Amino acid sequence: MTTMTKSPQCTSNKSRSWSTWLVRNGALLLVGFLLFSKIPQANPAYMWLKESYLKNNAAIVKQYPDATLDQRMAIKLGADYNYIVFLRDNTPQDAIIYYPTGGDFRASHPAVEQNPFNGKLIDKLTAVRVLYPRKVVVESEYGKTSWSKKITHVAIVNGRNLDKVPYPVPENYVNGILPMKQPTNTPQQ
Amino acid sequence: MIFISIMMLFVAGFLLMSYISPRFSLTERIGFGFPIGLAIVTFLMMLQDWAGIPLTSTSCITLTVVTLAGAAIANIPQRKAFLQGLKPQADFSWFNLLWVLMLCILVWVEYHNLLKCMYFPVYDRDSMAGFDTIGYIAAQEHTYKNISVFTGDYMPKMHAPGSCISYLPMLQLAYAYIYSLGAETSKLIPGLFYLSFIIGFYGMATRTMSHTAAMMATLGMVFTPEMISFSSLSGTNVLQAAMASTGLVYVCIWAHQKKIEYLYLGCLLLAINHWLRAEGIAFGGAAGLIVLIQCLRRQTSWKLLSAPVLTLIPTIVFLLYSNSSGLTSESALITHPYWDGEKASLIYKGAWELLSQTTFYGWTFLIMLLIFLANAYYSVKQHDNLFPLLAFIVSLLLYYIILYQVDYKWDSINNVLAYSAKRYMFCYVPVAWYFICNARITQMLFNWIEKTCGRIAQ
Repeated sequence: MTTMTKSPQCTSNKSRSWSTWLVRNGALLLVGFLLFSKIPQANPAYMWLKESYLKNNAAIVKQYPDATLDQRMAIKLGADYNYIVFLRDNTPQDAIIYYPTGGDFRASHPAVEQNPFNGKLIDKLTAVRVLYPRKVVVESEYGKTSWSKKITHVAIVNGRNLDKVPYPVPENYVNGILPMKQPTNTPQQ
Repeated sequence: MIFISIMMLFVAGFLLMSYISPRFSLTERIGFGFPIGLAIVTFLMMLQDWAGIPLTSTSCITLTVVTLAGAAIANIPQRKAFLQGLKPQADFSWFNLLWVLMLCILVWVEYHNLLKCMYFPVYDRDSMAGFDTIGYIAAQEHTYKNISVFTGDYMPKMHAPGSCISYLPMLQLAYAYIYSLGAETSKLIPGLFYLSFIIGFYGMATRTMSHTAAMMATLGMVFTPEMISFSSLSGTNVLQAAMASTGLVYVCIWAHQKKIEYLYLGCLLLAINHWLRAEGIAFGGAAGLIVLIQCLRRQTSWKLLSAPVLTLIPTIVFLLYSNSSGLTSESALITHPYWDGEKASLIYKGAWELLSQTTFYGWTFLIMLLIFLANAYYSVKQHDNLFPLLAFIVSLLLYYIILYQVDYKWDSINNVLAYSAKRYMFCYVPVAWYFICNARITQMLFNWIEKTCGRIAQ
């Protein structure tokens, strides 16, 4: 039904002279080089791959060779990741955290000129990955699951969810994490 | 420990390939060694979890050692042939600088891709909200079926349609494996898997085409924008594409060259494709059709059909394991035949838009079409390159039939076609490049180059 041909197997052992080989291959190399350097320019996707995807990422690696794991994540995910790391670093391992919604991350706040969040880390499992072994509760589960009744901390972004904390919080509290039990000192922000 | 374990996985896969046939080239065995070793160990991890044995670093290493020992023992009766197969091929009559140039470009591209893959931890949404997180938690909690995120009270949406609880777990278990050994990130797995695939693809392509044509096919495949950018992420799509495409092509090579080891290896790779993603059945189905055609044409033993059927073992065992462990979600599959003209038209339109645009896959499918037309004479007169074409078309049809049979409860079909379907087409990119460079008309060009510019005058 089909034929598949392999390259012609060597039938003679006569080696081509190096000079002939070099001349022919020099010409071949030149043609190949021209083709491979010029052809991709006709398609923006290939140019994106070469100039942006490959070179730009390599430039970041070169620029920050000693960046920590969290710093590398923050390069890709921005303020959202820094925020979730802040939650991780400021809660005990057995904390049960109320995690904000996408709407909370994208909301505006009068005290903030430009919202630093992009809402990339709104999936519960995404938050679980960084916050583990802490437990995460999201809006759709609030008041419905057993975990949501044991919340120990509320994550605040753009001043949202202050109402979930059972004690008064200053209105200018924008981003941070608040324990459900009122702290004796000022809440962290 | 991570390095040693990865090496053991690689050697186990290498030895298993040698067991299938010592005639596989070094390039093929180096290329497919790691994916095969990893697939077998992750499959054993699932059985271990099913048996209630904790998934710890010790148990993972024990499984690896057992797999390695089993593969080594299997090779003892054919040790002479095995040792002979380790000698590299000494024929360099084809050697030319175009091949060297393409190799340099390939190395440059993959070096930068691997660098990006290894430098950045897992940050893509699909992996953070699925594969990587599940693997990470499985490593922390020493179980897969009983991890905390699979419990309904903690994750009420976990049993909803399309949930990651019902995904085939090869990648999640691979991540659990690497995390249990103390890795900070799981990126070593996709990084090494893709690198292995490139080497294996080249080795496979040289089975039916010249070295220069094989290098062109490999370079064309690697330089596919969307596919390479996804290869540095942590999802299953590119890994499945690697296994599905090479598995299918090996079955095509078997159909032509009649050497049984190609059928066995092809089916092993297709089984790994099934072990990675459920819709891999489209490729297993296409391979089954090719084997069926060969059985009918040659009046050969029907036993051969058992090979593509056996590729379903990972899926069947997983279904039994997941059902007995409660790892199920609400079905999103319509199991009865039906006709919905609007949905069919949407899917057809989405498929055509993907195949005809030149952004995600560059010029891959356009070049394939041109080569198909240019090679039409040889296709008709000599039946040239028909099996890869058949494999491409049948698996594509089956894939879109599967998409048609899905009940889109968790997302709209428009969203799936617009944002997810581009990843589904990765499986066809390597098959397309194999088809392009395996066509007689392309081979004539590359054979002429090797004849004119090789080291040996012919």
